Amino acid sequence: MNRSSFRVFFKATFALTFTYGLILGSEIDRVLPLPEWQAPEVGVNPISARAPILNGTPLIPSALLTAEDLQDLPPMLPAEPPSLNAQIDEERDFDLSLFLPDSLLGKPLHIEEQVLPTPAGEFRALDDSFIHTCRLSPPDCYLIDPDTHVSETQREDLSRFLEFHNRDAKISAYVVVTDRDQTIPEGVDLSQIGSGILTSRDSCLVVYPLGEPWRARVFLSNSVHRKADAGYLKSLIDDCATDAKEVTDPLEQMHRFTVRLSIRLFWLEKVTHAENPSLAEASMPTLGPVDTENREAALTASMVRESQVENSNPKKWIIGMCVLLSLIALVASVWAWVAIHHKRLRTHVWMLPEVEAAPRLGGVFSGGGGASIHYR
Amino acid sequence: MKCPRCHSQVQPNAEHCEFCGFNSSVLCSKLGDHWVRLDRLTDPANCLRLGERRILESSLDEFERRFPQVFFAVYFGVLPQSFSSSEVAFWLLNHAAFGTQEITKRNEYGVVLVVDPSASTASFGLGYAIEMMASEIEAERILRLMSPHLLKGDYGRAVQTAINQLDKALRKIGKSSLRDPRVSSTHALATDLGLTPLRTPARTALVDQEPSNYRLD
Repeated sequence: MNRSSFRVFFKATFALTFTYGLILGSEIDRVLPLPEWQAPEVGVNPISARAPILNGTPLIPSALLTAEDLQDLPPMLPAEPPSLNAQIDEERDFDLSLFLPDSLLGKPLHIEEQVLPTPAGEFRALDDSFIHTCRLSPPDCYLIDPDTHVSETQREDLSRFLEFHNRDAKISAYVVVTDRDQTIPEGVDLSQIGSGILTSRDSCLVVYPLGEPWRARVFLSNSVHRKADAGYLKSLIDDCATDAKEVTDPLEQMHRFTVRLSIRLFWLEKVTHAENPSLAEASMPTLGPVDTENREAALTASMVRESQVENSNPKKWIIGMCVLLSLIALVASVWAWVAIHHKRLRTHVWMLPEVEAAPRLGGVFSGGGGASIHYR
Repeated sequence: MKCPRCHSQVQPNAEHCEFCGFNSSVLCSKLGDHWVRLDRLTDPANCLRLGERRILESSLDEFERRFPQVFFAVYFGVLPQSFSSSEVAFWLLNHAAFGTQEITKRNEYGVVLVVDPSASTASFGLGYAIEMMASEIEAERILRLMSPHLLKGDYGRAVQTAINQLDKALRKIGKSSLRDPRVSSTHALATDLGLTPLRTPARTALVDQEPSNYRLD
């Protein structure tokens, strides 16, 4: 028996077997039906009400279930979900204000009481240990707070902000935080604060009494102070203090003061570090210390002036760049055209004109034309 | 035109040199009147290295692809004192069949370079057709460009220089012929293929207009 005959025989056998199996299976189903529960077996026992039901017919006959079996069944869910409010009401003894803001709890907003400036007679001079701690502060510590008046979160925020400022600005900013009634004693050398970093580069030191921004004192390096206008420096301090007084929270005040100081130091940097004096004059903002509207208008105007002055040179630069790019594009296109032309010429097949000449010297194909040299 | 032997001026239709009496039959009496078969690069003097030879073969293939009518052959050999390199070039162009890519190439479109390293002489022999297009001055210029390499014994580079310069000169001629409608009048099909036909309808008129440069059979 060869392979093809064996394959045909195998297929025929498989088909016969499969057909016989189908017929036999259907016959078994007809002879052995599935069980069906009778009426006395269903619903006699009251516990059948908790038995699982499928399409109205109990899957397990109630008569066969015992109380022990029902213990293993999952508990029935209540008709309605439990109220979350009821749980909260039950646990009202906890102080939710520790976790939720007052606005969500329906409490009225906390109105801070007006803080009065410290009377002149109650000022306390900074002690030597405070000054010494400030002097030992590392150069990269821009927020110096020996008495820990600033909370940890605020300290991180302000320190990060000052780091950003000092990374980009040419006039670095250092802030020393004191208590609201502390003052700088006479004769103290503040130049050694921050391990002497203030003398090595253009710096601005702010001694900030927490809660009294109007008493903040700003110290500048000599190189910056010489170039800056006194009126501008006064407006700088006034502007920072005015902006800080917009809020009542002492830490928020200091934050606003620092942000404003950073902006003003950038402007001061333009004045003191500008190579073009006219640019420096043009960028000098004229601000009124009190009038907020005028101040904002002046800020906007000065910013517009700055942008105009700064944009005049970039325009020339952009035009130059455009001309340069145009020239480069022109040269590149010419070069590309020449390259393509040369490539075409290199790959071109040249058919020379056919000419005929009179034979010379008896030569059929050449008459001795050419040249000869003696190269040594 | 100059005589291959005495390099004196020869008239266009001269049967022999008026000064030395040189003629093809004079050479045939010594070298024979039979045809010889040569490769494009014939080097009995062993001047070329194997690598140079391969490069030059490739360059010659490219040259012949671009100028299907023209071939360039090189002969390096120590010649007898009774023959100059220009005489041998003259004889080779008239009595040699060079192993070019296409056997149908005619010798009047041939350029033969004969170099005698012993006598330190190099000669270009030009077929009649090439002679009309590349002047003797051009041939001499190419030889001058080759001479530094020949002097240093860098024969491969010398031949490469010759191929490149000849390519340049012929390309210039091809371009001028394309610009000149009298020379480059084309058939439509050939124009589509980017080719200039060998025989143009204006050829007769062209010859009539310039009898000094062209001659009908």
